[in-house]
Amino acid sequence: MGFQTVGKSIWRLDGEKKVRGQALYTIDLKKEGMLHGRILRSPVPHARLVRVDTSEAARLAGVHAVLSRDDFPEGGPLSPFFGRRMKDKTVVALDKVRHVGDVVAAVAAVDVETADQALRLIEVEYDELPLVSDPVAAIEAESPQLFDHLPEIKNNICHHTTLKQGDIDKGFEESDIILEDTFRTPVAQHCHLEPHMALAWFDESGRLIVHTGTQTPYGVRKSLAEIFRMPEEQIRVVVPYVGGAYGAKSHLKVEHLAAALAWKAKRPVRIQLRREEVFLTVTKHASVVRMKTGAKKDGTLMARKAELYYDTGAFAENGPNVVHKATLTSTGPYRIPHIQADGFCILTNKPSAGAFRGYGVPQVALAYETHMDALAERLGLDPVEVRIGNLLREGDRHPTGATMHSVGYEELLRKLGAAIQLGARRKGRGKRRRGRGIACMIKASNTETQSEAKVQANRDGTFTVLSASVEMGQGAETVMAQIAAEELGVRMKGVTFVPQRPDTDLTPFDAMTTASRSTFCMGNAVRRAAKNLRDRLVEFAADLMEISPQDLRVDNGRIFAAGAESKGFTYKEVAARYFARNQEELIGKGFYGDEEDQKTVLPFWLVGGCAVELEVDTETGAVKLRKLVAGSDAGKAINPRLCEGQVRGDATIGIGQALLEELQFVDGQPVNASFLHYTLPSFQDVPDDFPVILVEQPHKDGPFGAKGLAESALPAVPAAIANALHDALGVRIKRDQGAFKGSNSSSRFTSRTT
Amino acid sequence: MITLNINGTTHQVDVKPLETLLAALRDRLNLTGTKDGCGEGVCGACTVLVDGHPVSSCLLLAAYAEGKTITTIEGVSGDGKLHPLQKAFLDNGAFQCGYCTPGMILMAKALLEQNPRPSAADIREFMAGNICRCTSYVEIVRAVKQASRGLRNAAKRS
Amino acid sequence: MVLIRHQLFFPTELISLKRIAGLDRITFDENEGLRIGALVTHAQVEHSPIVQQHCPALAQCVHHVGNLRVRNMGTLVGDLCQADNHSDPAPLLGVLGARVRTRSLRGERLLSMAEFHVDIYETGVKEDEIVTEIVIPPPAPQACTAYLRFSGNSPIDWPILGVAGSLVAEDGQCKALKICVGSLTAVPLGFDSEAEELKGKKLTPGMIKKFARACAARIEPIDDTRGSEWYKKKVAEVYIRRTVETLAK
Repeated sequence: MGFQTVGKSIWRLDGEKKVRGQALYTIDLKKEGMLHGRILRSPVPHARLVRVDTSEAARLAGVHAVLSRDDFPEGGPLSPFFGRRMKDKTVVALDKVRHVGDVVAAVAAVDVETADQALRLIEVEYDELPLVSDPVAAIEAESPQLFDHLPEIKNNICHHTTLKQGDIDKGFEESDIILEDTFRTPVAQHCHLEPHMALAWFDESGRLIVHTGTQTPYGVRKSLAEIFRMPEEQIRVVVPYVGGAYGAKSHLKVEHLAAALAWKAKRPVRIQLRREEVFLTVTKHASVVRMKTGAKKDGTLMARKAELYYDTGAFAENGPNVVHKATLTSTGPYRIPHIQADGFCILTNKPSAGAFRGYGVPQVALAYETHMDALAERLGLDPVEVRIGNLLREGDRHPTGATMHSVGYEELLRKLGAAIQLGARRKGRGKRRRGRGIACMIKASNTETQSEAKVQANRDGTFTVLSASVEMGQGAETVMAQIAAEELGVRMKGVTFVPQRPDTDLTPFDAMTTASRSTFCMGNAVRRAAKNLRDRLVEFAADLMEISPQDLRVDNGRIFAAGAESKGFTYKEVAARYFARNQEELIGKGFYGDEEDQKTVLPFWLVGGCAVELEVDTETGAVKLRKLVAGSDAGKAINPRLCEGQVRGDATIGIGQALLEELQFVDGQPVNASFLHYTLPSFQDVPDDFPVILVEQPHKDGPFGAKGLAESALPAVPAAIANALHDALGVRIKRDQGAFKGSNSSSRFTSRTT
Repeated sequence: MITLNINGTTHQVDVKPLETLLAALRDRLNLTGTKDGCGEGVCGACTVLVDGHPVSSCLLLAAYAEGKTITTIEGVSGDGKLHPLQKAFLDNGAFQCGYCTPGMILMAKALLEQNPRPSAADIREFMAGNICRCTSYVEIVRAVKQASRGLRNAAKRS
Repeated sequence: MVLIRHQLFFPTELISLKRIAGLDRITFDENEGLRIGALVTHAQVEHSPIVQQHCPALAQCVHHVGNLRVRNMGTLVGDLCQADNHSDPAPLLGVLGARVRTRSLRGERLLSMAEFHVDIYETGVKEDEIVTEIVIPPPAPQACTAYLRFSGNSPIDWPILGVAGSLVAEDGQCKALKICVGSLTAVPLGFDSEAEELKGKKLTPGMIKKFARACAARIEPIDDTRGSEWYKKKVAEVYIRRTVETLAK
């Protein structure tokens, strides 16, 4: 099928505004009479709150509101409780603080300096409790408990997922080779450059208006409705451009605090988190993964036992779902007859870990892809072939019951292996050694799939796409317009698509902009909306031309009679005539996620991989990447430049997590929660030689065959680097990040090599 | 009250003694293209040019910039025709969320003024202190190279 | 500014020294050597023809400080006075025999680097003094100077350690060697007694290795986010060895 717009690397619709510095982010918004909110955070990781005295702070000139637990009496106007998976969080701490940075109180004042001064006047008495820091120790019965009032939580475990298939003992009995290892990964942080930020106020009719850089406008609205005991329709959530999110900006982060201060101060309140607070707001799960793999001599996988201990910090957040997804894909993209996998989501006294690009998969992919590599090595097989020989193929049943579809692993793995000449014998000599490694990954997409869109034809011939997919850099605005244009039969050149940014008053419902779901789910909704609009335009044109709609064709923005191209109207002309007769808007509607759509267990699989060539200084453990190849199955790349950008950017975060990043804690205290000491990948840490391989195995249900890909490279990167290090040094790395960093963790690495 | 010369325009600004140039630009002059990322001079989102040299406006006192020439992203092309760097950033997918982009473009502008023909290594070296969390930087290096070619060709023609 | 931003420091008065004449100068004369005023930025040091001619190692070293934006604003004197132990120039100034000139109403003082560095964030400068300049004596004829830094996987990160060395050699024989290691301990650490052992000897790979091991054995590195004590000691030995190897070439 020839496409007119799909498959073209057009400029981003938001691009010109962004390069001119004119794009507005939440941080750029101001409101008349606006106050500035600051948050008092716990300096201790675990304590009973004995006393919170805000009286002095409230008396300070310039302070308009001080929010503390006193504002949440039982049966009061505001409910303190919220939480994504369980109501474990409170707006401010009520009886306990559970991590350094936990919210104790908040102040709204005329300026930030006054608010800061007021924070110093709040007196808090803490009665310190024993610290829970290690997730494996936390689940012992004698460990101190973070929660004692929530029935969902037992022994600090807030979630447990099991995946079973076949007979695990028999599987290992029938295996010729068994590998068993424990892998550890540290806490990391998203480090989106725009900090969490919200501006909230109550308007003259009592509605709550919140502007925030969230990935989940409808989710934020729902949670705020619960806290403020208001109908959801009384709340409006507006999302400007978002300065990076990567999972960190889902669900309430600061919105509730800005809104609660605005409620108390009766003035608009703006809260912008400082960088060190961002580090304490949401993180990536640290993990301990115990993995046991059995295989036949020819490399055929027989059995997989996996135990996942994910450190979710002080609150469940998205953790239960992260652990669920990771556990369900702990077999990788491979066919394994006998499976026993258990995933535990464990509470400790650290800032809470939530969604982070890859959603639990990088931690487990390090384990299963190290095992695939070790298997090839131990059995004398080719690492690409051993993977391909075990792949779940198109139409196969995944252990979860889902069907494998649009999974171009074989092509991807062969191309990745060829791109770095895997197995080449050039290792280098002396103190610097070279190594090559490969890895792939699988991730299930989100099962909450509802998305609704509208496409509107305007009087002036432009189109408006109404979609609540958040533009956070991935190119949602552009891709949705391309999908609408393709379906409408117009070319982007010369036709203006106006994106309506997410606003719960204007853009229809969308579950969330997470899990690489927008191109697939919202893309389908937009496509259906565009088709609906096209049908209406064609019908109206047919009426004008006194011809049956079936006899009309659409191309390049024109509707014409089949076989008589000169006879017809442009869309612009049709719209003009329509509005000359009608007052009603010219809108097409589309919905994705109805019962028919929900028949599949999950919408699509994220399919990706990575190949790497590196050099390591054997005396210090310092690693330099010489080449990195990232690959993904896009289904169909709607905008190849945007797809490549997603894959390469995703892989770059993977480089950071493998080689540089670790948020470290000592006695529950974060010690490098700052850009000065938390090392992010820079221009100097990413190789020049960094190609992207896009495989296109069209998805039958995707818009024009497309599906999500924005999380398909990162999870494979640490594993590929670990495998390349093994190739260079003959040592298996069982610790991500730090693992190879020339720091703390590097010592552990070096101690193993020497 | 201090006088700031920004993008060729003189502004009288009333600032507090410890107020940063970043705060003065964003909060007092509504020049919000300069972004606030880390407040520690690390990320580079707040990069502006002072007398042509890139600096972190989050660490620079506004008072210090008095009498100097300040260029912000708003001064690169205004509402007019895109600067070759801006166009090259679009062509090469050199940004995603766009939050680091004003700083990146100003950094690249300073580089090309010093070195009209930078190699990839020169670009990586010069811009090393600016963080982008969305892209892989490869796209930015390509964009700066494209812009350098464009600017050299334009210089030849004129 | 970073300390103010983190509310570790609440200045009540701020005095600008920007307009004091002479503080922004770099000069060289054969008696006193290289003089770098308190207002001279890292970028100015790096690009100064005077520094490049008389002390190229310093020009190269300050290139590693922070990032370009920091180097455009931050000064070499400021870097020293902040006394963060992860300073790149500090160990190099140590081997160069630099001194810090201070001024107060009571008069002038010249502090050696040993007198200047007291502890992390603590210097020998008194409350009523300001630092006016750094003075680097003219190098001994035939002296080679080098600074090697290690910052883990990221070349632009803070140094885990920095090793500065200066060597005067004749026919492969060591006449004078100075080594100073920064970042590992609260103040830069010199190894004069270990270097004394090498005097008059030929710098063979074996000798250099032995020397590096002896130096590393005496270091008690601070265990922090950038590495454990064990690891830092290990890498220190490697980098001291590499520095002397570089100098001996």
